[in-house]
Amino acid sequence: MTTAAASPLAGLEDVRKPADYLRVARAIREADGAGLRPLRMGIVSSCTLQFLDPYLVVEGARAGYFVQVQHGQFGQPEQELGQADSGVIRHAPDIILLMLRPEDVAPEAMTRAINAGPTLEALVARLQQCVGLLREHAAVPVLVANLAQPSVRPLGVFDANLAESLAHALSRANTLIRERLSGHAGAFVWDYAGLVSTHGTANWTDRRLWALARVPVAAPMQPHMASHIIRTVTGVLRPPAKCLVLDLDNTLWGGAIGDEGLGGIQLGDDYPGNAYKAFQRYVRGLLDRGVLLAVASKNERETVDQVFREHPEMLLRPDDIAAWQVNWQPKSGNIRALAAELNLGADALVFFDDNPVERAEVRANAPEVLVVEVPSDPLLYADALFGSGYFDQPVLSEEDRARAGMYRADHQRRALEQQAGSVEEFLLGLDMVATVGTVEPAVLGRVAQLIGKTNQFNLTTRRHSQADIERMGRDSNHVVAWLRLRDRFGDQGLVAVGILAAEGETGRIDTFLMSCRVMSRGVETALLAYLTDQAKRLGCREVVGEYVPTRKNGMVRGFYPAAGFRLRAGSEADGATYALDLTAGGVAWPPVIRREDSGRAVETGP
Amino acid sequence: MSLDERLRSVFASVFGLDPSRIQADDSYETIPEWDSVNHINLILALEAEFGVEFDPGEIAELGSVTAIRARLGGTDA
Repeated sequence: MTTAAASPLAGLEDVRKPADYLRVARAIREADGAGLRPLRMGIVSSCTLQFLDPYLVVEGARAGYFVQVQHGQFGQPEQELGQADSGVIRHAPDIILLMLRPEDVAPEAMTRAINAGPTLEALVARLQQCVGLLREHAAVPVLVANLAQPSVRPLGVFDANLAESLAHALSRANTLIRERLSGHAGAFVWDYAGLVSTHGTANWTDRRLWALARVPVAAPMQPHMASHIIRTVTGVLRPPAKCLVLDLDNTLWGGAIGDEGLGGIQLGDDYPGNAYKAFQRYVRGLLDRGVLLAVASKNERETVDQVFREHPEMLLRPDDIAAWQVNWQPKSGNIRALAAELNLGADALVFFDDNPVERAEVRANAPEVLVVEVPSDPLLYADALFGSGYFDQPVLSEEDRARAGMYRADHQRRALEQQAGSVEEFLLGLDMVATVGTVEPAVLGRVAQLIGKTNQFNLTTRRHSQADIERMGRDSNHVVAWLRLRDRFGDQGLVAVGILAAEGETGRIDTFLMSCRVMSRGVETALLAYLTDQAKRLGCREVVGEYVPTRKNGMVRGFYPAAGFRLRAGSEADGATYALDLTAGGVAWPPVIRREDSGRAVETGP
Repeated sequence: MSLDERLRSVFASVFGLDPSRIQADDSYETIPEWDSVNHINLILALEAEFGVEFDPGEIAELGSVTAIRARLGGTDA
């Protein structure tokens, strides 16, 4: 037998048996990680978890990490986490796992028929104290295991029937863990209870292993435990994907719409149509928590539109899709185009396509895109997408939560637009209110985010850092202005930013940008009106705006002339400056938007 | 693969040794890597490879290649 394989990573897919894990983990360590990204983990636990190391190394390698683990001293979580010179802390971990099992630290509680609550609450307090001790000297993210149900229960089958039972005490303790951790930055629940229940409490432990070596997990479960830890760590350390790019034929429905027609595709409540419908339902769940949906399909756009509009069994409708690429071009290019349209990096896109040839094409030509390995059976589509972990994220931001609502509101706006007799009538019917203000700590993050990511409606594309923005905000010759928009259908949030630099009698507009989701509503005119007011306040007699062309901002090349500015120098093609005389008036606030000034609630306009 | 080849392969994987290094008369006394943690690893690896489950009482007794071969019913050396 030869032991010198080309790379220890070559045979990763075939690693299944314990002996394989041990052998491959050793090979990866001997190759010093074999080019994988280092991931240093500290593990502080009340039970023996050293046995897990080879599994963590192999499962880590599958996720692209070279896992290096340092275990804490047995039974000393406070010392390991609280002392800056403990073994775990000196390991300089990227992440720490803290696991105190009630079976180890309060075994009597796990056999108590009723009133285990106080003991478990004390355990939760200890967990919180450990995190608090760690936070006194280190900001490293920490995962805290919650508490799994035992397979043998003191009240027999009626554990769930009694309010004070162990089952309920454990689930209350888990709620408490979540609440207590929410007060600590960088502390997250590792859902050990969920992991154990997925595989079954009866399968989870091997009493022989526990009795002989205090190993709490049966051998066949150890790979699951390791991959769950790695997936949780990955979810904490890397930014989540933002958009799911879907194929259509044999992905959202069975059959090819171009061949079968509207009545011929498989989608409905009988097999196999119900498999596709179930997948659409799972995708809707992602949409509702803020994942954007896009379509990349080789079809005719008209045919596809008809399915989304008219097929009675479709759970996804045209308004659920944020961007479309329906054509006969290679999907790698189409996915890049979707990323550009949505203002996302291609590495924030997840591609889901039943066709292995398309997946291979995307992997080869757009390697930064995350590609789900889709099984041939549509009944397993949702499991595959769930299993990929690409959309795992430990917290949902306000923006994530609002995004689904924003799409619903957009749908209602479009309906209003179709009913309205004119653009003017539509805009008035929106009951828009714009709040304007200058930068303050509460909005600094969002202002910096917009400056950092807005590509299309952006006149100069200057990517000022948050520190620079803060500095300009404090400087009396600068105005960092922002605008929030809400209407009768919802709050759009802070959607536009302008920066004015007063240089004597000239106010130079350094930055002017707006989120594309509020296009064609007069918002840009409102912000420009506010900014010219500010210029007058600073004693300027004119304002000068610039257009700096980029590959993506062609839509704003005529912005200043349309607002009444005159060309001063340059050209649209190569970049230009424009001037507006303030002594002859500024820019009028658009009558379709009511104005509120931040902090003062001054209302002008109609 | 014969029983001995499979055994050698498991031993090699668990202890990080070349399969040819494993001899019929080896035991925890002759293989330094055969410590208490690796004993459990070896038992679990053997159970998975041969589809058996050892009684907790006999696990401690399986401290040599001879004992393991005998337990796995191996006479086809």
